[in-house]
Parts: sequence; C-alpha cells; structure tokens
Amino acid sequence: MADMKADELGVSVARDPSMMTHAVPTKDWMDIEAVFKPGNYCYPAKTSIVEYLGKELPPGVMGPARDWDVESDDWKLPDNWKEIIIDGLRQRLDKFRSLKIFMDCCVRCGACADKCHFFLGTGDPKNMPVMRAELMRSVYRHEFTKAGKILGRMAGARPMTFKVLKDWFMYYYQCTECRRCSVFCPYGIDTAEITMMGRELLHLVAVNINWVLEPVSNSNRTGNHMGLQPHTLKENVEYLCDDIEEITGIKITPSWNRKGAEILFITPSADLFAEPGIYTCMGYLLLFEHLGLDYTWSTYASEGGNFGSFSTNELMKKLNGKMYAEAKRLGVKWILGGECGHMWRVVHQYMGTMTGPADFLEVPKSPITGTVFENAASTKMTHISEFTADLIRHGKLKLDPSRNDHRIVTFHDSCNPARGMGLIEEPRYVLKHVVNKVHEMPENTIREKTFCCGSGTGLNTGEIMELRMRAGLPRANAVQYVHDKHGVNTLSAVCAIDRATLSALMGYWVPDVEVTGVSELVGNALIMDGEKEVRETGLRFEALAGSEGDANV
Amino acid sequence: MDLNKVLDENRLVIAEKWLDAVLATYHKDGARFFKKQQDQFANPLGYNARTGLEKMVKEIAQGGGQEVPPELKQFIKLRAVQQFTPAKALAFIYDLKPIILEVCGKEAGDLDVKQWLKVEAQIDNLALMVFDLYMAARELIYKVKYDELKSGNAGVAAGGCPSGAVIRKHNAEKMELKVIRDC
Repeated sequence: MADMKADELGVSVARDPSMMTHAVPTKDWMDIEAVFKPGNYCYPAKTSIVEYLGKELPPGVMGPARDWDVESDDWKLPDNWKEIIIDGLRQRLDKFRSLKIFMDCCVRCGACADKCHFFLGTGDPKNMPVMRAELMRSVYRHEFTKAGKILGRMAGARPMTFKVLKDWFMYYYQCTECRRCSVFCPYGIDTAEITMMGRELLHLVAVNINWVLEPVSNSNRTGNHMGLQPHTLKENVEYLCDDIEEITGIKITPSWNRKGAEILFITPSADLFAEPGIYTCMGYLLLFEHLGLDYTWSTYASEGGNFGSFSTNELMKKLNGKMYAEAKRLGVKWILGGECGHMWRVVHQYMGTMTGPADFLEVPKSPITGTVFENAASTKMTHISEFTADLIRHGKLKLDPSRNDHRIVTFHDSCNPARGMGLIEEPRYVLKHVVNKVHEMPENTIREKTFCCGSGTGLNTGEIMELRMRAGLPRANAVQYVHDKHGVNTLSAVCAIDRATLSALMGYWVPDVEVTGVSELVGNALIMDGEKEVRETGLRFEALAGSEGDANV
Repeated sequence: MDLNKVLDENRLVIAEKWLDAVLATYHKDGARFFKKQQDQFANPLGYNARTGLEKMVKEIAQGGGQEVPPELKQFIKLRAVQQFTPAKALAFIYDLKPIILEVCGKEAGDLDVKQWLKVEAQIDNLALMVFDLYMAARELIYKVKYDELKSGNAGVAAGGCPSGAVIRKHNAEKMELKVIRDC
C-alpha cells in the first residue's frame, strides 16, 4: 500500500466499486443470497400470537409456532417445509385463477421494472416488480411446467430451497402491495396479489412478522389493533369531544353500540388514539353533529383496518366479517366507513367473492340528501369522502374555508382508495370546498400513478425505519417539489396508515410539512350552530391565519 | 495553465464521470436506470445525484464550493438511509480528485501545485460539509423514530401499551448498539 503511486490509488478509488461498497454483485440474480441484518427485516411474530391465531383458523394456515431468529441460518422450519410450500402453491393455483394467469403470462417486457418505490429508493433489481414475481415464478416453473422441469435454470426455473425462502421473506416484505406497477403492466398482472400469495405461503411455515400478526390478534380478540377495551375507546372519544368543546364551544355526546341506529360508523382505531388521526376523528364527530346524523360507534367493530389482508385470506375474511356481524347485531341500515386504506380494498375488491353481498343491510342512502350510493349496492358500505362530497354538492354544509388559510395543502392519493376502488375525485372535491389553497403534486406521482407512502401492508414498524425512508423517497420527493414551489405545508390523505407513516416520512424528508386527514380540514371549516363567536384555533389547537400567534404557524 | 478554467471547460465530462463512480455503488441494473431516466419524479435518486454533482463541480470550478446544492443534500440524506456504512456512503466525494486529474491532467500540462492544492482543499472541505449533512440525517432519523413512538402510532403491536413499545424499542436499540460494538 505504501508503495502505491498516487495516480494508481486514485484510479483504484474511482473505478473499483468494491472499494466503496463491497456490495455490487456481479452474479446472476438466482445466485445472490438475501442477507438479513438489523434494520432490513421486520421482527417475527411472537410464538403466543401464532399459537392463538392457529387455533382460530383451519389447521395449517398459520404453521407451527416457534421462536426463530431471522439472521440465523436455522429458522427451525418443519422437516417437510418444502412440501408444505409446494402443496400450498398448488392449492392456490387451483383456487385462484388469477395467480395461474399471473404466473404464466408475463413476457418480461420491463414496463413495471422502474415503477416500484422500493426499487427507486434502493436500486436493488429484486425490487423490480417483475423480479419480485420471478422469485415465485421460478419455483412455479420448476414444479408445475414441463419446460421448467426439463430445462431447469435455462428456462428460468429453480427448486424451492432455503435460499429461495429467504428471498421471499426479504422481498415480499419489501412490497407494500400498492399496485403502482400493475397500472403500467400491459397484461394487467397484479403483482400485489403475487406478494399476497407469497406471504400466505410463508405463513404456512410460520415465517411471518409481528407487526402484522399482533394487530390481527388484537383485532380478532378485542376488536381493534391496539386491543383497546370498550371503556377505553369510549373514554378516548370523550377526550376528543372535550377538546372539540374547548375549540368550538359545541358539546358532543356520541352513542356507542346503539341498536336501531340508522348508520354504523367504522374507522381505523388509529383515529381514536394516535396523532394525527385523532384530529381526523374530531372532524368526523363535528360533521355528524352538524348533520344531526342517526349513527352509532361500536366498541366491537372498532377497527376498519384489516391487517389480515397482509397475511392470509382466511384472516382477511375473518376481520372483514366482524364489521358486518356487528352491523347485523345492531340492526343498522348501512355502514359508513372512515378514512382508511386497505379496509376499502378488502371491501371493494375481495369481499364480493370472499363472503358475498351483505344482503341483510340496505343500499346506503344519505338521510340528508336522499342520494343512493348505488356503487355500494353489494357491500352496503360508503366512504366518508363520497358521503361528504355528496353533502357539499347539495349545499348541505355550512363551510368557511378561510379557517384553513394557515394551510397550503396538497393531496396524496392513498394507494388502496385510489387504485383499489377508484376514489380519486371525491376527496379533491371536498378539499376544494374546505381549503382555499390547494396545489397538486406532479402528474406522474398522483391519482392512479400515485406513489406509495413506503410503509403500507404492515411495514410501518420502527425496526425498519431506514427502509421506510428510502422506499418513501419518490413520494417525499414530489412533496418537496410542491413545498419548494408553492410553499405547501400540509399533506392531506384519506388513509390512517398514511397519516401515521407520512408523518414519519415528512419528518425525515420535508420537516416543514404536516400531515392531516381530509376530514380534519372539513372539521376546521364547518360552521356549527351555536358555536363560539370566533374560532381561534384549528382542531389541533394550532393558531388560525389572522389570529393571535399566527406568526408561529 | 489555469486549472480553474480547464475545470470549468470540462465540468460536464467530470460530472458525468463522477456520476458513474457514484452509480457504480449500486447494482448495475439499478445504476443503468438511475443514469438513463431523466424525469426528476420518476427517478429522484438519479436526478438528484446528477444535478447535485453537476452543480457541485461548477461551484468548485468557479473557486467556490462553500455551499452544497439542495439536490446533493437530498442525495446525501438518501445515502444515510441506504445500506452503506458511513464511509462507503460518502467515499464518492474523494473520487472527484482522480477524476479531475484524469480529465484535466493532460490539458493542464504540468499542474501548478498551488492551484491543485487549492482544488484539493475545496474537495476536502466538501467532504467535511457532507459529513455534517450525513450526521444530521442520522440524528434526524432517530428523532423521527422517537416522534413516532410518542405519537402513539408505534403502539399497534405493543400489546395495548404504548410504554411497552418504548421499552421494547429501547431494548432493541441496545441490541443494535451491541451489534455495532461487536463489529
């Protein structure tokens, strides 16, 4: 080293990537092994939780509960784990025709390759959606196609090995099932569903993550992700009502588990206990009070979120069914749903074939405007943004958008409502009427092309914060642009996971931008009968434009 | 020969080579895309790296270099959350020296030592500024983690007790520290 001439050293530093990263693989993708280290994987589920859920589901769905270490080379898998996975794949190929088509019809055109936020933030080719699918497709070819059986690797086939299993655990948990890639696929391959299948198969051998299964377990037992019991839920909402009274002078006393109410309202439980969701919740409470709506909350169906959809379809079905069982028990006419992401994807896309239409309820009809929400004729569940947009369209809300003048707002299309149910215009229509200053992010980052928050599908856990920050880069980059160009200081969204994860994402990338729900902004703008003469603060006690302390906003 | 003038004339070639050196730290399939796609929203990493490095070379050529352009700042922030060690994340700054020597060496003939030392000092100074940015990003990520715990959002998998999440997180971070110490 000491004898090395300066120019040789220079060339070495500049040209030899291994000097800088030791990480540039030159091998074929099949030969590159996933390496787990702190920060790039989620913690496995607790044994007690896997045991509990295993008892609640058909045998085998959750696999054998055990303690295992992701970084170890011994995951304590059952002896016949390969058989379990291959049988599981065979069953799913028979059951889900879509999976069979997705396995067969990809021509590797590359249209999806650069559309994934995980790829854009990491540069890892296995985060190209086509490659992520190839992780499973290679095994499919080996087991179920003649070409794969005969030609093996030449036909892109490989047997199921521990190395493959590690790939699956690494990359099916570096996909948020956001479906941006499928928008660009000329064949319409839904790579999110390949990830869903990958995760299901991993669950069969109990390779799973705690951040998904603990909320599922809590929801199944107590009704919501946090495991909050009825009295706690009620008290939490009472605290919010106290704040509402202090801010607006209006006293609200919502009803709980009330049989015979016209409408059951269900929202993600994060709206009841976590910032900034609680302010969105205050928006709902004000809106319903403004209308004098005949509705009830439920302490049993106290969770709109459905982390079951991030694990196995059996759990997804179970948690979705819980909401409808409660609607039946209470005898309501229809369900109004809050600002949630995947709850809507499950209701809109999977419920129809999973459990069938909710025929015991009525097609949602707004008691204020008389509008019948025909789009919800099967599910009997209407989105709060559709409901609110309809109210505004009919002039039923008294609004003062200048109360949001301290906010320059942009709107993030949450993946599931936008791509999963086409809810694109309604939240924008609402925003336009409750906020004076709204600016859109660039066209290729919104609407059906929206970039994911980077932490959906149960990846919003702290142990992978760095991964979340790099996956959220494309979204944050577009927010940064409107922040710099228009002074945007507020990022609004209609999804509880977004409200939580975008807060962290903004905290890192664009710290001047706050995250809100759309209903929080509605709550700010609503002029309530009998309210205080002057509204001095918004729902999070922030000073309004023109009021004292404005300089601090 | 005035080195700064040669630098300015060759700044696009230098920036291009510098970009190639940075992108060589990613897998070749990723690097190819980061280099090709020009849209700043479809390719934030590539856009920020390219624009940031181009602006920085221009600054240095003009004898400045006391300010890191915003695009390069964002790129450093990204490096701070990618899977590089701190040294590997920032090593590309020093690649600028041999690149300048390679590109400008011939044209500048016998380099004036004083001029070269000045450019070298500018690059060393840039390395220090970037080190500060990197550390600020690392400190920020811990603040973001802490803020998330405080917000209540981290309580989802804490058995119904947000303080339980704090304790578990603390234990997990202690373990991470141990891993770092053991390395």
